[in-house]
Amino acid sequence: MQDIDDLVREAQRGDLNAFSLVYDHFFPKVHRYITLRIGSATEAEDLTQEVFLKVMQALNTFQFQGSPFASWLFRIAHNLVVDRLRRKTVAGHAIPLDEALSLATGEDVEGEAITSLTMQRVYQALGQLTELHRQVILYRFVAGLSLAETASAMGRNVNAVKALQHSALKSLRKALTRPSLQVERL
Amino acid sequence: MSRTKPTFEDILNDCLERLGQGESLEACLRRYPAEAPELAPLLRLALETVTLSSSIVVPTRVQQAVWVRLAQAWQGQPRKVRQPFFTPHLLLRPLPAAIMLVLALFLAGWGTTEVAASSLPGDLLYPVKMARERVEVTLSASKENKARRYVKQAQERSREMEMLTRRKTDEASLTTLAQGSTQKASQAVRLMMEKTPPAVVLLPPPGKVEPSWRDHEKTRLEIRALLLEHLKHQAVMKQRWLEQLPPGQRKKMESVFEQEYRQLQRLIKELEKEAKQPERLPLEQSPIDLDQPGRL
Repeated sequence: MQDIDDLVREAQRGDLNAFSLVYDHFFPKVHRYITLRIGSATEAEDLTQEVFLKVMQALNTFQFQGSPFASWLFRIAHNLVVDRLRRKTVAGHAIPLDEALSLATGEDVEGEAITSLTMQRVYQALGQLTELHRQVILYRFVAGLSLAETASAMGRNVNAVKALQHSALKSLRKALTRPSLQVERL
Repeated sequence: MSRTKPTFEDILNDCLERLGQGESLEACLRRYPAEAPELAPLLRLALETVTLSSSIVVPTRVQQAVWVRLAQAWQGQPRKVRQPFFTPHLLLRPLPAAIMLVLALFLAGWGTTEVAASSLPGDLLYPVKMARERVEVTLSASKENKARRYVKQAQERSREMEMLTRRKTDEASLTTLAQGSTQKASQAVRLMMEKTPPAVVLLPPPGKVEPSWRDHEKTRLEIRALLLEHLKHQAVMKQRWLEQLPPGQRKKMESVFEQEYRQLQRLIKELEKEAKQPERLPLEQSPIDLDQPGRL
């Protein structure tokens, strides 16, 4: 697989095929990240499209100067999510996770039910974390960003992110072990 | 100089990186026995979160539909600043409005094929691209232009191979494209080697070259040069394509590329044979029945 940076450079020169490869690579990651931020499958699809439209429009403004492309892309995704949540959240109530979420569990109905239940609980637990903790969990373990990419997306240094990663995992564990949020297998 | 002792955060991150590279949880814990009791539940949680989130899938049709919209928007991205060629009040007049509507409908259809032009095998719009290529050949007025189109399409198959090898692709798709490229080159060569002399009655006197035949020869050399260029490109790219493939597929693909390369060489050699100008035939052997005009 060609380096993402090379593909981004080609896309900046107008190569649509290169952009399609960048899109294929990041679309599932951005979609997962947004789904667990927003909680609605339909809105996540809609917002993911918006992210890539923005990325496409602003592609030529991206400069390879220390900041990885993934961080730049996820900052766009983050800003759009924050805008959407600001409009959506009513009186601070958490938005429930969409039950119509597409889950890859094959034909196993029981497995799908367990995964769906676990997903609901992780989503609720994430809602109880601080914004920074939630961000680091979503970037590192949902979007699959590297430590450096996460640090750049969050505007922090690598050591600060290492410390945040540790405290975020501890907080998530604590949130999941609360009686109302106990999750099987976690 | 003594090395600084890693902090727990460093150890946790090191284990997470190792897990990401495929190391097992147990192996990670064995590396740091003193920290293992604290590490284990955090690493398990991280792994479960990764596994759980990877079960969220976006339906393929959604991803494709979004891509189609993006690709259309990509075409509409401003590239050059042009002077407006009409003013909005023109649309209020019946005739310009009708012309604009027809034009808009035409451009909408053409826009789709423009987007399709950059599609690859397996993409939603690839069949549109294939159809467009056929139409382009059909609409080419002369045999020479048709041959040029075929060469261009042969080059396009190579470009598609290049793009596909950047994605994860299978050897079957690459084989089809490699063979497709040679087939297009072969169609171009066949057209250029066809002896289709102008009607005997139009041939110039012996010793003189008929102008359309001279043009044909010029195009033959042009096509040969284009195919030679294509052959060189294939030779350079072959190694790069092979390197992108998984080791298990390389040997088979190497033999496919080799076979197609030789076939292309043979085709170019055929074009090197100087074609003879059609000989002037005596009237009695003329393929045109002069007594019955219009019948061959």
